[in-house]
Amino acid sequence: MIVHRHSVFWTLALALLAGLLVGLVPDLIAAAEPEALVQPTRADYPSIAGLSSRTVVWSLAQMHLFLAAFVLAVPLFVLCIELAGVLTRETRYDDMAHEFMKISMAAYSFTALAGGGLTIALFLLYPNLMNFMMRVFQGQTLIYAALFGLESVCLYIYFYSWNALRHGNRKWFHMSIGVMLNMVGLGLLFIANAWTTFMMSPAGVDPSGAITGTVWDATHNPLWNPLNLHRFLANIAYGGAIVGAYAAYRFLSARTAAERAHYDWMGYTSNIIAVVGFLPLPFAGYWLMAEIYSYSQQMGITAMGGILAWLFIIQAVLIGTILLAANYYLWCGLGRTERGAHYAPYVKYIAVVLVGGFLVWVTPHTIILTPQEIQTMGGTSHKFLGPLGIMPAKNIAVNLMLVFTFLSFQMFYRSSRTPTVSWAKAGNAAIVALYIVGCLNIVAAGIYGYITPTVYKVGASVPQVATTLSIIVFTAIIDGFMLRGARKTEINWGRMPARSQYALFVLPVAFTWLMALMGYIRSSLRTNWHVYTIMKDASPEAYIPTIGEAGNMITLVTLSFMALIVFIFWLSQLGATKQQMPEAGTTVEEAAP
Amino acid sequence: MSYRWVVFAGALVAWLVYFYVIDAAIMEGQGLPVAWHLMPK
Repeated sequence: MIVHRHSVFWTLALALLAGLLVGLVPDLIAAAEPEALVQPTRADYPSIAGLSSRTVVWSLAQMHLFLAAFVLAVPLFVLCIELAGVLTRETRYDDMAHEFMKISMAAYSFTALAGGGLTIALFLLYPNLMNFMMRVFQGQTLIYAALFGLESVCLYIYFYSWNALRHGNRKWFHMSIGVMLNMVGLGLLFIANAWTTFMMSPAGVDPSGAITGTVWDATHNPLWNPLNLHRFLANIAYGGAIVGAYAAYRFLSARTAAERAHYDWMGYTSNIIAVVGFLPLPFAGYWLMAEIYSYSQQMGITAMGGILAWLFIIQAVLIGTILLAANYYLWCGLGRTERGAHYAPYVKYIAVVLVGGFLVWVTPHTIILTPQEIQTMGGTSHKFLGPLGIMPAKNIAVNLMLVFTFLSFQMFYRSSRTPTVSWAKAGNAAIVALYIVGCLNIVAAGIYGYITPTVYKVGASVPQVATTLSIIVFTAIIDGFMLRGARKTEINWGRMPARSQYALFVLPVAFTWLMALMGYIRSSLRTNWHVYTIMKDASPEAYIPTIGEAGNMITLVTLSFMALIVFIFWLSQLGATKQQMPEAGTTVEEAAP
Repeated sequence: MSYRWVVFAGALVAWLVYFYVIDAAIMEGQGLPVAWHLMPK
C-alpha cells in the first residue's frame, strides 16, 4: 500500500513539474525583444551601512557553494552504496549509506539559508546586474525555484522512508526516489552553472548587451559543460572528504572496538570516494582551462600568465597536500591485514614519486628577483629549475602522482586478497609491464612537448591523460578477473593508528581552501566586468582583489565553514545519543552516558 | 627463461605498441601528426 500511495504522489509531483515546464517552455525558446543594455553607473550600486558589497556577496556565495557541493554530492554516492548493499546483501552498506545521509541532512537547511542570503544580497546590492540576468534567463529562474522545492521533497522522503522501504521491491522503489533526488540535484547544479558561466562567456546576446538568442543559447554557453563536469567531479571528492572527517571524528571519540571498526571502515570508504572523485579532476580542470583559452586568449593569459598565475603554485601545494594525505591514509591502512606487510616496502618508492612530483609542480618558471640575483643566476630563470616551471614538466608530475596514488589504493585492495587463478603470475607480469610502459609514455610525451613547438606541447598533454586513464582502467580490469575467487584475508577494521585519522581531517580543510582559492581565480577572470565584455562593473570595487586580501578572505570563509561543519558533526552525534533511564537512587547526571 | 618473464617481455612489447597507436591517433585527431621532422636531429 505504501508503494501504491507513493506512486500516486510521485505521479502527481511529476505531472506538476511537467505542467510547470510546459508553461515555461515559451519563455525557454522565445527570444526577448532585442534591446541594448544600459550600462550601470556608480550611482546604481547602493551602499548599505558602509559594508563592502563585494565582500558580502563573495562570502555568502562561497559559503553557499561549499554547502551545496556537499549536500548535492552525498546523495550521489549514498545511492551507489545503497546499491552495493542490495547487490552484496550486506546490511552494513545500507547502514553506512543511511548514516551518510544523516550528516548531510543537518547541512541542508544551512545550504538553503546561505542561498537565500546570497539571493537577497545580490538583488539588494547589484540590482542592475540581477535585472539583466533575469531578462536573459527569464522562466529558467522559476524552474530553478521549482527544482529547489522538489529537491527538498525528494530529500525528505528519501531520508525518512529509509527504514520503511528497506527490503525487497520496496528497496528498489526507495532507490528510485534516490535517482530522482540526484536528477533534481544535478538539474540545480547545471542551472546554477549556466548563470555563472554566462557571466564569464556570455552567449545569446550581442556586443551591445541586446538579447538576441534564447534562454537555451545563454545556458549552453562555451564554458557551461566544462564547468558542469568539473564541479560534478569536485563535488563527489569534496563530499567524500567531509564525511571522511566525520568518520575520523567518530573513530577518535569511539568507546568500543565495534564502534572503532565501524568508523574505520566508514573513513576508508569516504577516502576512496574522495580519491575516485579526485583522480579525473585535474583532467576536467585542464579541459575547463583549455576552453577558457579557446573562448578568450586574454582571459586565459589573465589566469595563467598574469597576477593570478602565482595562485596556481598555491593550488599545486594544496593538491600535493591532498594527494599526500590520501596516500598516507592508504599506507597506514596496510597495517589492517597481515598481508599488508608484504607491500609496505614499496611505500617508500611511491613516496619518492609523490614528493618529487610535488616539488616539480610547485617550481615556478620565473620569480621576482633583484638585479644581483639575476646576475648570479645568469638570467631570470634558473638553468636547471627553469624548465621544470613549464607545463610539460607539470603534466608529467601530476600524471605520475595520480598513477602512483592509484597504485597505493591497489596495494591496499590486494593486501586482503590472494589470487587463486592459475594465470596470476602472468597477470601480475602484465600489470607491472603496463605500469612501466605507461609511466615511460607519460615522461616521453612530456619530453616530446619540450622539443616540439607550443601547439604540440599542449596537444601532447592529451596522450598523457589517456595513458593515466589507460593504466587505471586496464589494471582494474585485469585485477578484477584475477581476484575472482581470491582467498580473502581478514581485514582488522579499527586497527589504525590515531595519526592516520588526522590525514582524513587534512582532506576537507585542504579541499575547502582550494575551492575558495579557485573560486577567487575563476571570478577574477572577468576583471572589471559583471558579464564579460557585455556589462561593465561600475561599482567602487571593480578591480581584482590583491592576493593578500583574497588570502585573508578565503581563509576566513574556510574557517567559518569548518566551524559550521564541526557544529553539524556535533548535531549528528547528538541525534544518535540516547539518555539512559536513571535507576532508582541515582541522579540524572549520574546515569548519563 | 621462465614463463613469467616471457609474458612480461610480451606484455612490454604489447603495451608499447598500444600506447604508440593511441598517442599517434590522439595527436592525429588534434591535427598534430607525429612530428618526427620537427625534432632535433
